[in-house]
Amino acid sequence: MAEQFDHPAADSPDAPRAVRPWVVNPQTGAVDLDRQPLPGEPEPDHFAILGLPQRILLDADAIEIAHRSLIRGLHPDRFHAQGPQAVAKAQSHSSRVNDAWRGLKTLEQRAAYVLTLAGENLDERYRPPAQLLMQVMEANEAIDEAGNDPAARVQLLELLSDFQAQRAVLTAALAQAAASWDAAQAAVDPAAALTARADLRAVLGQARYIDNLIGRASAALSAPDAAYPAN
Amino acid sequence: MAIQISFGGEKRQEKPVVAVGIDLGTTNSLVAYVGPDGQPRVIAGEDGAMVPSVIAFDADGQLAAVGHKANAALLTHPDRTIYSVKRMMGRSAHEIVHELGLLPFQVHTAPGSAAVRIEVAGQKLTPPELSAYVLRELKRRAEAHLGQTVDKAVITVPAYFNDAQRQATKDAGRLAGLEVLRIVNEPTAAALAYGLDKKPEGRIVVYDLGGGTFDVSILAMHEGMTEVLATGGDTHLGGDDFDRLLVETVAAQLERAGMSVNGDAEKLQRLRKACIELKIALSAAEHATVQAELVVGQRMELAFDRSDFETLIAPLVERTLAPCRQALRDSGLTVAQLDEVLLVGGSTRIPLVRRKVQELFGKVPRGDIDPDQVVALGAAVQADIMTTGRRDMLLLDVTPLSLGMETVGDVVVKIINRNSSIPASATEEFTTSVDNQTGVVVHVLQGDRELVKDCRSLAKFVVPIEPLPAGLARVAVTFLIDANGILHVTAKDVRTGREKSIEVKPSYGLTDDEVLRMLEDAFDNAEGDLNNRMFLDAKNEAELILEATKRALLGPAGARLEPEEREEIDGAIAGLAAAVRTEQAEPVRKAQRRLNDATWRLAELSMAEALNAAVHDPQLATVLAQAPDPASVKPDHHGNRIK
Ligand SMILES: Nc1ncnc2c1ncn2[C@@H]1O[C@H](COP(=O)(O)OP(=O)(O)O)[C@@H](O)[C@H]1O
Ligand SMILES: [Mg+2]
Repeated sequence: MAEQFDHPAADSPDAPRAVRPWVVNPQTGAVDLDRQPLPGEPEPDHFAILGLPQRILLDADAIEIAHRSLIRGLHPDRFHAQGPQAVAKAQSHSSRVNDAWRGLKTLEQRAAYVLTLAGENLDERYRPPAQLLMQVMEANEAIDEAGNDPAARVQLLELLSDFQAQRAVLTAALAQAAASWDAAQAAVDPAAALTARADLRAVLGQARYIDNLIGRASAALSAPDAAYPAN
Repeated sequence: MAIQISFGGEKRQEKPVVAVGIDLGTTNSLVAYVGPDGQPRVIAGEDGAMVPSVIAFDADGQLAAVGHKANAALLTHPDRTIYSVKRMMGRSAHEIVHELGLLPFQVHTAPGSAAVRIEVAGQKLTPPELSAYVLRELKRRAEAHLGQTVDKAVITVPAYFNDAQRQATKDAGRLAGLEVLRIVNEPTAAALAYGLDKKPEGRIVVYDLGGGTFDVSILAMHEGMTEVLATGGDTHLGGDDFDRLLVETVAAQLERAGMSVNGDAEKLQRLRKACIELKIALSAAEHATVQAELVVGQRMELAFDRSDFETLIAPLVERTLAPCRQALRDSGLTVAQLDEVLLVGGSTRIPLVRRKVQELFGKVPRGDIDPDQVVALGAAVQADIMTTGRRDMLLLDVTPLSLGMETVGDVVVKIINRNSSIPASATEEFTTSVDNQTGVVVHVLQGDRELVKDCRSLAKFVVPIEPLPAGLARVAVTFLIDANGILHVTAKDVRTGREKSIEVKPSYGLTDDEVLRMLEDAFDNAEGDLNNRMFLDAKNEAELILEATKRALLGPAGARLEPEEREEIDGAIAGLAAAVRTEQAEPVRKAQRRLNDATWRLAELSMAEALNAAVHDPQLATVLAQAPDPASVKPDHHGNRIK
């Protein structure tokens, strides 16, 4: 019942697989986790596990609802009375649903994930432009000093708000690239898909880089001492 | 056609199995259960609901007391009394000695075992064995209260407990004869208890400051589902630290006044006790004085101002705020999006703590929950969810720490990030770099730091690989964190799809075999447990039979008995009642058989009476008349065909 799915990616030349072969539960639209894939057969992807269409732009509530309704029936706590084997199976199934959900929560994650599914290697390091690099060096210094130097904190605050402004621009750019990708997949348009893919990759690299900076800067500002004890 | 006529006109009811919830605290422990009405209740003993997590032994190393009595022994026999076991659960000898240096216990390790042993009264016991004493006491309490065997429990742990600490807690349960249904995080349990009658939709933060640990969790509740969004904390921060500061300050004052307590374990223990009293008094008053008797017969007065105390502990209270902020960041929420703040743990009674929490979250914390009991109550609710199926509730917890693997350069690569919903899993593929290599060593760590030395080693194991040319063999290893937050590892040959078995030895704590051996060793003692259990079963049955017999005797059937029959029954009743008082199963069974023999005619007469009543009941009579069963005969007024 794979036709339950709305999966434009299937016929795209960008997609490494021609079809999504997994057996789908018609009630939830999600993949049947009981079925063991044959050796060499691809594992179902996160979208299939949650019964969601393979798109970057997805409604956050729809993702939550898909996860919640699946996990309600699969969580091991529900199977305790049925013995250890049922619990073990529930453990394995529910962990896959949780893993899929965790992997699709944000727009950035979904963008990165569809690129990975399309065979993109995202580990390549992003090289920031010279102007950003200057700011990064300043920020690093301010982060080191923020604990005991009020002037450094002020400077870091300024840098942080600048990074946040840059991030807002990137968010808009990412949404646009995501929309083009989704549209290209739906229209089975290989040329458009290729452009969207390059855009996605570029914006995603920058966004991740800035996110990292923002994270470090705000951590340094709100918690001067280590946020976590050594454990 | 079937009418069921039971002896005494009453259906015998089996008591449903009750699974309890246990808050196994550093300082105090509690047990709770959910009654037939669906409400959770804490089980109190003669000395209240809280059982101090203190264990006292006698000079021969036999258990002397657990709880309040053991607490008293802390003063008289500090060398045979053990407390704060929870701080040692799942920890290495190094951690216990260096981080918990203030605990006055001797720590040992044995060759061939990763478990740490604590010396007390001439014995060397592991922390799970020690905790099992507290759990057994709670189990005993619950059984006495409920009048039935209790062998299933949900036990709570600080959300911030790592894999080894959780595993140690589970082992303790097993050693105490409890099947641990689930390890639940304390703040999550608190939220569960809180959410019970309110069915809240919203986001809440639980701030739990107890004796030894600090925990903060941010949760979302919707449609009976309690979802933990983020959790954080500090396993080395709590009321004990406030005590220590106060003891140090007061000791320094005494020293200046020429009354040194240094190096005197007993004096120090007495001072500690007085300081705890002082601290608790300062939660209610701006200024407090307490009587101390550091040397027997020499009373003295200790006085302190709340403001001085607050200055003393302010840096520690401040330290709880960073994990709060971090958890908030991890949850992706802002302060304004939080609906409620719950306070849990005895140390949240301190006004400064309340003020700081209120300041940070911009909300007045709820005051209508008992910070001492709420965790145990929530654990009982979870036990009920898992055993009765009568609640449509589900708890979705997260793992508090990231899981990683060692790679080159002593660096840790994350495989499951902290605050991931559990169960969670990750699969890594391994291959060989040399021809005919037969295995790859995997070192699993837990923690959020970059370097191996800053994270906690969970286990090291070898992934077996077929001897093939380099790079050809492929093994997929799946790391699964179960709903308890405990790690499981499985391996599969990618080419053949065959499962491979891996032996994972924990870096700290007990192996399965060790737990089994301890259980076997404990078998001698278990005879007592078994007797107790058989007695409880027999007693229940006896009580039901006694009640039914007495009722039957009061009815018309009783009046139709011959005097000697009546006499024999009365004798058997008295015999059974006396047997119950022996607290032994065998005499109860014997007396019960005698009563059974004595009452067979009473049973017959009662049955006839019941039947007579039934056929005179117009409603029942119609039912009987219409019964389609061919074996039945229309009842005549004697009703003697119907059995
Ligand atoms: N009224 C109070 N004021 C200050 N501290 C208190 C008060 N009552 C209890 N405590 C402290 O709370 C701690 C015990 O809290 P509890 O939640 O039972 O701890 P745990 O969960 O670690 O066993 C102890 O340090 C105790 O001294
Ligand atoms: Mg507690």
